[in-house]
Amino acid sequence: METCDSHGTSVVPIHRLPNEVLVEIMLISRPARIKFFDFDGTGEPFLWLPLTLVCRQWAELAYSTAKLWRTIHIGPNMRWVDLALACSDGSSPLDIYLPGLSVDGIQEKHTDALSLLLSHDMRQLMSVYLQHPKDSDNLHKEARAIPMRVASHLLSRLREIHCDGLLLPWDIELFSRLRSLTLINCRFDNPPTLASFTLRLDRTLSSLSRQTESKSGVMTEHLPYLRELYLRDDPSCVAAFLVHANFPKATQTSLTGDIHVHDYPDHITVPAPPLTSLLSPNCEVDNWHFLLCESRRLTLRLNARCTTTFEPDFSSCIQEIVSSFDLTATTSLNVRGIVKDTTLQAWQMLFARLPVLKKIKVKERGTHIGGFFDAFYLLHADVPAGAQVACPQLQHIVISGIRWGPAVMKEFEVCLRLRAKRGAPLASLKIEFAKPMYEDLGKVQARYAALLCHIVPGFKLKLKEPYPRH
Amino acid sequence: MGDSNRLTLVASDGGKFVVDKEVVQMSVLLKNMIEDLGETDESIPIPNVTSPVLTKVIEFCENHRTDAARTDGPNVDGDDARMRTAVVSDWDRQFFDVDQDLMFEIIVAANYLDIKSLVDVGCKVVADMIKGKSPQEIRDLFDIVNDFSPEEEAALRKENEWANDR
Repeated sequence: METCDSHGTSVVPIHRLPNEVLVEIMLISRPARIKFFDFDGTGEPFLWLPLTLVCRQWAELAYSTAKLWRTIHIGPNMRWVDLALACSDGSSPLDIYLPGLSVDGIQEKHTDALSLLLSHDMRQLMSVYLQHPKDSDNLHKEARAIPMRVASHLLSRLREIHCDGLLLPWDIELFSRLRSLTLINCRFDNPPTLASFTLRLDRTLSSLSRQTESKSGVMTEHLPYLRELYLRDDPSCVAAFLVHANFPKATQTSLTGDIHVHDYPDHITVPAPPLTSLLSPNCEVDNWHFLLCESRRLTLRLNARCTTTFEPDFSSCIQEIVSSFDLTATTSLNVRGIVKDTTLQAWQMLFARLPVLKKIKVKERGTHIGGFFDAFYLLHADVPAGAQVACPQLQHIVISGIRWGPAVMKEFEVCLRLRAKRGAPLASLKIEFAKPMYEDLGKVQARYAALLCHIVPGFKLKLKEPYPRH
Repeated sequence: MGDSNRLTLVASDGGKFVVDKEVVQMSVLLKNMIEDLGETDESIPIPNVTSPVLTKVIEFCENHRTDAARTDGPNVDGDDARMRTAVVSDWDRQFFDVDQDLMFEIIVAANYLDIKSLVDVGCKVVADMIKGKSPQEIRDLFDIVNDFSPEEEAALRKENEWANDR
């Protein structure tokens, strides 16, 4: 293969990459596969195409890499279908995306393209994304039937299907190979009981995503092979689901929407030891804001908004969350927005369960705190002689957005000195001071910073402007 | 008799690096070599990797030595998904905040040594640099010579025109 190298006087660094690595870079640059609720279908499949115009080597690599062409986007321009079918080698899995075209958008060429795809050797077909045509009332009958016909033709061969706004044929045999199912506002033509539907799928389904506006009941209660669960559902459905959910092999769950998840960690996490990701970005959780723990085994994000008056006691809540997870291997903890309202007791309980924690990152928004740093150095509030230092392997602390009054500064200084004295000094400390409320406080902070430099060699300070100049 | 938990790697320029076996075993190539060699005090030559690059590779492995369990997790979509889900932490970004020469040398070395996590992170960093850029911007970024003839380029542009007027 002739490469760009032959045109340069010396090999530029990127040309040292072997082709297989360059292909990987191209694969990453290509949009992610259609997944869950994120794909908006606004031309994203094409965004990586400029890579084919960079140089001859890149063009040849791109056109000869079937994996790059796995998403067939049936959109306004049919050229993509031809190109993708030509460049895929007949063995790579294919994903077909059929967006809900507007009345003007659906033309004969789409029906032709679908016919072509249906007649193509579909052994390689992997997934289909089908969206109900927009303005469907104004569509002619043939166009309106496209998604349903495609679904009927393809379902039995698919491993993944993502349906948006469709009336689906109900025949369990059609879903026999399915591994991943996304249903957004879908109905079945002859509704089965949803329990029986999932009972039939329960030995194959590894991913379930569901969003609906209708109160269609709980989809499933027990999915022993489910690894990924994404729900954006009617709150009452999700609530009912959460009560009965049992998916012991789940590694990722995402629940979004106006859901009250007071009890959800117990139900979801206890029977799911391999869980690596638990996301609930818009859920309402009793009385606490946001907790983010990161470890090599677990990413836990419980993002809640508080709609009631704050009660500054979250110990029971944190206990519930933390006790649901094995944090013994957690090395990094990020805390955002909850320092002010979490009790010392709760922090002590959390830190006691993080024996190998190496880094803690606290990000607040101009929060006043008190007592937080006490939990940093001892497991017990009454500080018995010889008490064990909390998180003895803690090496790095990054703090921003905390209001540093003199009392807090003293508390933190004592904490650091005690840790050092007990053989657990920090390797680095980074503090971003919030803007001081008054100039004198700014001067106190500056003096304090100088003091911390002596205690922690790796101390870095960032002052938020405007900061008093001396 | 040396420490049985450590071994010596020798870079192409003769630089010697004494490293924990646990760290070295992030490289599939070296892991296999160690298994083949058994208990030995002999140092292992890495003929394709210079000392500065090997220093960086070891630094990465040291930092990610506890990540092994992450790669043992379920892999639904194979390598494709693995690459996409490779997490690029702040540390990783800082690690790759080096000149392009060294950055690509690290990726090449990681590929040679078969250190999947380092290849994944490196590819992701490069992909992020490319994302959203025009062909000319990519050429400028990486100093790539446009070796298409004007006719070829015009033909290719015409071929891809449809993607722009969707």
